[in-house]
Amino acid sequence: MKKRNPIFNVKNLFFILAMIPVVALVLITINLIIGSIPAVKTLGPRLFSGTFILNTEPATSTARDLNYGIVPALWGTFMVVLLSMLIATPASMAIAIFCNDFSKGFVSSAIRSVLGVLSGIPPIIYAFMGSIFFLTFFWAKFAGKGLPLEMLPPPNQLPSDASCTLLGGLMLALLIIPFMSPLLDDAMQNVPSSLKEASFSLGANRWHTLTSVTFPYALPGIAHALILGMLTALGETIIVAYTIGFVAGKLPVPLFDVLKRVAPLTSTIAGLSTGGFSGMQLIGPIGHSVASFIGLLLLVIAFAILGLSGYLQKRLKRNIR
Amino acid sequence: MTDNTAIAYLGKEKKTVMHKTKSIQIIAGFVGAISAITMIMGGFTLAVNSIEVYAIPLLLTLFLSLTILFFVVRYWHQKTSSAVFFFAFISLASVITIMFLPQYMQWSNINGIIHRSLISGVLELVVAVPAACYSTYYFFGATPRADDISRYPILIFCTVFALSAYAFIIYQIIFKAAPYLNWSVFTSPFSSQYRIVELWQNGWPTFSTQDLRQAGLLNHILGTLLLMGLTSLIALPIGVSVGIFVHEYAGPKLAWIINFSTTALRSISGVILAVTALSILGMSRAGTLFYKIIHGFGYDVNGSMQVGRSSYLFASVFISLLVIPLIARATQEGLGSLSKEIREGSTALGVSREHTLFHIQLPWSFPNILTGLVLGCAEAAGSLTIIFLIAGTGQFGVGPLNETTSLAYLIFDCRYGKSMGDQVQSLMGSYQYAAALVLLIITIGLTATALILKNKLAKRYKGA
Repeated sequence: MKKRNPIFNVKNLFFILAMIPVVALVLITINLIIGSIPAVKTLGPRLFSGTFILNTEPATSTARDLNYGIVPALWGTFMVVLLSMLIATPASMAIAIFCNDFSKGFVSSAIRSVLGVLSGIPPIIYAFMGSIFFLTFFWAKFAGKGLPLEMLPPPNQLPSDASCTLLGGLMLALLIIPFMSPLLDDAMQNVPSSLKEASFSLGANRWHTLTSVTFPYALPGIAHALILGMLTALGETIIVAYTIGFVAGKLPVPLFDVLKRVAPLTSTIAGLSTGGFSGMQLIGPIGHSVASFIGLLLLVIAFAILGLSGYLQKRLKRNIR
Repeated sequence: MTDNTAIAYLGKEKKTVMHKTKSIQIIAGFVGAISAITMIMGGFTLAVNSIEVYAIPLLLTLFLSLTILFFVVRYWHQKTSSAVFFFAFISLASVITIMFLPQYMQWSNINGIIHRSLISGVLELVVAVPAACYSTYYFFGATPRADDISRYPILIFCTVFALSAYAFIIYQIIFKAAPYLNWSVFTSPFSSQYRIVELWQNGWPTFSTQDLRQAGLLNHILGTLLLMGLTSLIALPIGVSVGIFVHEYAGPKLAWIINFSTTALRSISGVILAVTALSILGMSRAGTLFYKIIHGFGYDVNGSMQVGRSSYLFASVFISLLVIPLIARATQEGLGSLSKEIREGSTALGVSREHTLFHIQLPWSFPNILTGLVLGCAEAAGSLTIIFLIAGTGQFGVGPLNETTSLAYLIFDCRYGKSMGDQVQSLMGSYQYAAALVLLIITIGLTATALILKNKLAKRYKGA
């Protein structure tokens, strides 16, 4: 019998290839940590206070000259994720329930395949069509179209261009509906049919079965789907950068003003790390470092949400048993 | 008392019941029709301002019919439907609200003025959707089965409302791209170069530049295809071996670590990968071979070398980090779906583990892997998040070591172009919709292929 080579065998080859994602993740994290050191050293607590202004950094820049307060962007992220989840959760729940329990045969399979196809649409399409959405739906509703001049509010209160936080949230919602609804659908489909049939045989109707049997049993899957949708909304860059903008200068004055442009963290990274998109100045080393810091923050948030998701799964599954 | 009287009494009772049911059905049907109209009009009121004039009559009709339905149910069904009363009240309240609202509202310093039609449209929907549900409930006789049926209006409304947004987007793209679709768009590449022309004047050479501007989608389309190809070349072996290692060899802890990192790679923001790519690009020293390879280089019309912002190879390495988890998960699913008997049968015949893997398990899971790969290609075609900081115009050729560009980046570049800014905007601005259409066709085609493959797979498992 041929003796197996202790080093160059198939298993070790697979091991090396399989460790590539792990190594990549570790390297990315290290890169972000090293990159964010200058920002933390120079700015310290000023990262979480004050305004955010993109400027060319002076050669001898002290913390006083730099305005890299990321709290507005943090608030923008919160608002965008909240808005998109508020729009997407009921819609995708309704689609999943409709596909799963309230239709059969052609209709449900047609909706499922349509959603499956829609999930392949890249974010740039939504971002690009955002301006048309704005002109069709938002401008007419929010901008006082056709108002005589003397009735118009001061010009600084009118939306200056085809973008606002609400538009970003809506477009994100359109992105995550086809992403979440198959997951929700799967979660509800995985409920054992014996449980459902027992409920039916006791005389419960479909809606009652849904609320009292399917929902509690599918709750871990539903929570997982919602958390994954939230992560997608949190990390999405193109849509928010294209529809909202790159920089959140300061907090909006009525805090929940979704018609202002409050760019979230991801697009702030995009604005900082090249800084050369049209109309912006070149950013200095501290700015790049702030981008790394925000990246690290996003990474930590994503890991926290993933960990929370795992904990919730375990907890909810224990409750079912 | 005889049986006859009882029968006559019963018959009379039955007749009254029939009579009652029919009148409730008529009224509920009327409410249902009105609320369906209100629902559709409310949906359109959210888009078109002038339709708001229909809100008040519709809501008023809805209020009256809901009130009649409430009293009919109250006296003939012996049942107080507080929800119907509540929504009748809400419809009356919204009629009064809309009547007293000014056409434009502005308060609390918000960034815009709100038109009345937004509020009336929302109020119409808030009243009409539950009214449709309750009228369906009473139309079908207020039984548990009717309870089921009464959920249809709200579910169908949400589904149609969500899907119509996608229909709107796709319709707009096709409609706006149509004027620009001709053959030359797809056969000519984008370029904005200057050729140096040598002219002889009075025995001396003088040089002048000749503008070579051209607009077309050819190198963007080829670039997208190249990105897909390179990404799948890199991601396929790694993804498959991640799947095999996790499923076959790894212990539970190592499997957890690998699974966690692949999940994390997909769920962390792509812009983190983009920042990493950017910092690697910044680390390399200019002039070295490594610098040239990762930045991408090409030769312009004059034969001089141009170094780009990042090469296709470099970009696809980072895109493949997003595609590896997809392929790994698909491989794991495929390996898991092979029944244990077949694998054990192979082992019982004295076949080594590797032989089983390569001759039985991998051929079995091949369709799964193919599905994952096709989805990964769709991801690579649209994955702007990774490359939007490092891509360029890519006008100096399409090859693994040239400057990256893709259809998705073109759309982004036209608005926030960094590399050439206004030139891209002015030359390619009108082709954005065509680019979006081509991108849409590529990604939707690939996703549909993956779906068809998946359905074929499901049939195979049923047959087995």
